[in-house]
Amino acid sequence: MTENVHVQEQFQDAEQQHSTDVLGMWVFLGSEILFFGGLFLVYTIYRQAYPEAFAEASSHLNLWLATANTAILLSSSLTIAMSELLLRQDRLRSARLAMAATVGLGLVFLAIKGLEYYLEYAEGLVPFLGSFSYSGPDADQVRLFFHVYFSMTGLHALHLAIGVGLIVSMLVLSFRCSDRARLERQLEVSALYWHFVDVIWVVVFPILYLIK
Amino acid sequence: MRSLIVTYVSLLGLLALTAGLSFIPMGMGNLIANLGIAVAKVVLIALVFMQLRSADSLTRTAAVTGLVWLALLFWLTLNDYLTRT
Repeated sequence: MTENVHVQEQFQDAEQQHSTDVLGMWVFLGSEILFFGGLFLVYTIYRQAYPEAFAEASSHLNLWLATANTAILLSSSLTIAMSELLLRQDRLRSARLAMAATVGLGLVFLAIKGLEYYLEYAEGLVPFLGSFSYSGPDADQVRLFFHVYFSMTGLHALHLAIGVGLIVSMLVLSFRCSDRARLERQLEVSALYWHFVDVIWVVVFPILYLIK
Repeated sequence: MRSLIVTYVSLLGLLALTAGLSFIPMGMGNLIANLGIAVAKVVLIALVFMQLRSADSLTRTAAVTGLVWLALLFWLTLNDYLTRT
């Protein structure tokens, strides 16, 4: 961090200001864990109650698209972590490129997710659009799985879209703000959020797609 | 930069492993392998990408607190659901 960092008056020094920013984000992420935790709990209860129906329902999802999407999201975590490091090394131009790559990967993820939703819609697997036409065994329990599936992935996609907005605003800030230390802090906090969205997907992926 | 790349390659390796293992029927083994690999990935992301390995103790405590509350939520609720007859 540079020598003459602008410190807000409620902080003793730049160090305290930085750790407060990071701590604040972690506290928020703690509340987010519980936000998603409710859905994970619902999933756990129904999965242990209807294991066969959940396995059957899961086999209608597209494993290849989801695996590609997982790789894309992991890559985006790498690029945002790189952008933080590059900014600390004073390589502003490369840091911006890494941020732009993160935004691009995030948008590709959302596009693939949209394609998946479309395929599921075409197959009549969306329970809340009045088009649920699955008629195999355990149709009610399969419907339940798709409620959980769309809630989890939809909520995750919403978080990712917010993350894309955050990183875009960091890109804009990198052009507008001359206070480099502030940009470093805000990018670090935004990156924490981005990695958290990645973490949620890392858990969602096996429990929705990989049950047999 | 090197530790970021090593972490990333490990994450992709774990992804390939978890997707590949899902084609081998192992019953309960699949569930355990999938969840174990997911936990390994989360730990890697948290320690390296989210910089918890170099974070101060207050930040680490805040990070773990979220998991503690989640564990309470699961523990108390499943105590009911898993013991119903």
